[in-house]
Amino acid sequence: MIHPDTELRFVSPEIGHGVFATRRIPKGTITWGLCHFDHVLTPARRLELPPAYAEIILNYSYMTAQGDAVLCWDIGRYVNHSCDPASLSLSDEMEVAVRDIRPGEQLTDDYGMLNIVVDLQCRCGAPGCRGTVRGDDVLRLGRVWEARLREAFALAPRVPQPLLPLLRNPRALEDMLAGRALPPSPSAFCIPSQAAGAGGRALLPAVPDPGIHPASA
Amino acid sequence: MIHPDTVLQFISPEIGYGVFATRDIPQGTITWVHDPLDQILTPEQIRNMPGIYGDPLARYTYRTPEGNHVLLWDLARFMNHSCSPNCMGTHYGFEVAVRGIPAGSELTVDYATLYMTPEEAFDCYCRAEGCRWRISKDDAANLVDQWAAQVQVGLLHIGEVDQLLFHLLSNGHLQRACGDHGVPYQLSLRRLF
Ligand SMILES: [Zn+2]
Ligand SMILES: [Zn+2]
Repeated sequence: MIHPDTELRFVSPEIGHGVFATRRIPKGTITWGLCHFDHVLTPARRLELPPAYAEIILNYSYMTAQGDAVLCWDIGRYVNHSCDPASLSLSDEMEVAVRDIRPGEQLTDDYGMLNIVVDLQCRCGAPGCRGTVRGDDVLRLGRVWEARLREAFALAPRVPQPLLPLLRNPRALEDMLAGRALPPSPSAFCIPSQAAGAGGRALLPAVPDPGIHPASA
Repeated sequence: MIHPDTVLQFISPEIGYGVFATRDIPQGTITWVHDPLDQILTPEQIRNMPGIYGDPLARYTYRTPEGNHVLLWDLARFMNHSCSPNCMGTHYGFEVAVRGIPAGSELTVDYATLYMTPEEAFDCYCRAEGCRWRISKDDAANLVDQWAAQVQVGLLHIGEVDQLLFHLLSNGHLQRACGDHGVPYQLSLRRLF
C-alpha cells in the first residue's frame, strides 16, 4: 500500500500518471509496503492467466528476488522511475524515503532495484540520469544504494510510520526499527540473473508509463 | 477488466475519480468483465486482516450474494453510481452498455444493483433525470423489472458492435445471459477479439 499522504496526478501524455505527496513525508518514512491487497503472482499463477495479462503484468508490476511479480493494488503501481529518486527499495517488500519529500513533489523510486526484465530508456531529467535503467544496475550501484538506505533508515525509528499496521509482514520492519535486524543489502533482493537477457521472463518491450492502465498499451 | 477505450479522470474532491470513455462506446458493447486479477476476499480472509483495512474495503470493494468482497484490480473500481446508468451488470460477471456512451462521457452503474447492506444506503447527487435521491438495497424490489429490461436492450445489440472484451468472458456466460433475458443468442458476433 502506498503512503496515505499521496495522490494520483496526470503528468503528461508521454509519462502518464505519477504519485505525488499531499503533505511533507520525512526522510526515513516507509513510502510503500507490501499489504494484504497487493497481488503476488508466482510464475505458475502467471502461466494460468490469459495471454492478455503478460503485457499488463510487465507494465504494472515488479519482480521479487524469488521471481514473483508484485502488482500493486493501488496507486503504488503508478510510481515512476527517477535516477535521483525520492525513495529506494528497502527490501523487495518496502520502499523508504531517502530524502524529505515536499508537498506536491512526485514520489519516485529506482526501477534498477525492481528486477526489471527489459532495459528502460530513461529521460527523467535528473542530474546524472543513467540514460538506460538495467536489471543488473545493482552491480554498479549496489554500494551507493546501500549507503543511502542506511543513512535514511537511521531516521526511521523517529518519524511516523503510518504503513506499519498495514504491512503484510510487519515483523521485518518492526525488527529493523527496534534495531534487532539490519536493513538487507540491495544485493540480497536485486538479482541480476533474472533481469534483462536472462530469458524466459522477458515478456514484451517496455512502454513509457509503467502504471498506466491497459488502454494506453 | 474495464473496456480499453476508457481513462481515469478526476472529477471533484467530493466525488473523486470516475471512468470516462476515450471513444464512442456503442450500445450493446460489453464494458466490463470480471477477470482473474479481480480479488475475491472471503469473510474469513477479511477477519484476518488488521482493522485498519475496513476503510479501503468499504470504499473499493463490492459484495457478492455469497457475502464475499470483490476488489477489482483496475479502473473499474472507480466507476461511479448513477440513477440512470449507461452500464448494467448481469448475473454472469459482465456489464453491457445499455445505451451509447459518447467519447468524453462517464461510464456509470447503479450501485443498488450491487449487493448493498442496509448501512450502505447513501444520498445521491447524480443529477440524472429521475434521480432517486436516496439509494438503498430496498430499491431493487421496485426496479428489478426495469433493470432487466435495460439489460435486454443492451444484449439485443451485442452482435452489432466490436466486443474487445469477448476473450475474457467465461464459456457460455454470454449465451446464458441472453437466455435469461429472452434475447436470441447471435452466434455470429460481428467482430470478436
Ligand atoms: Zn534517468
Ligand atoms: Zn441519483
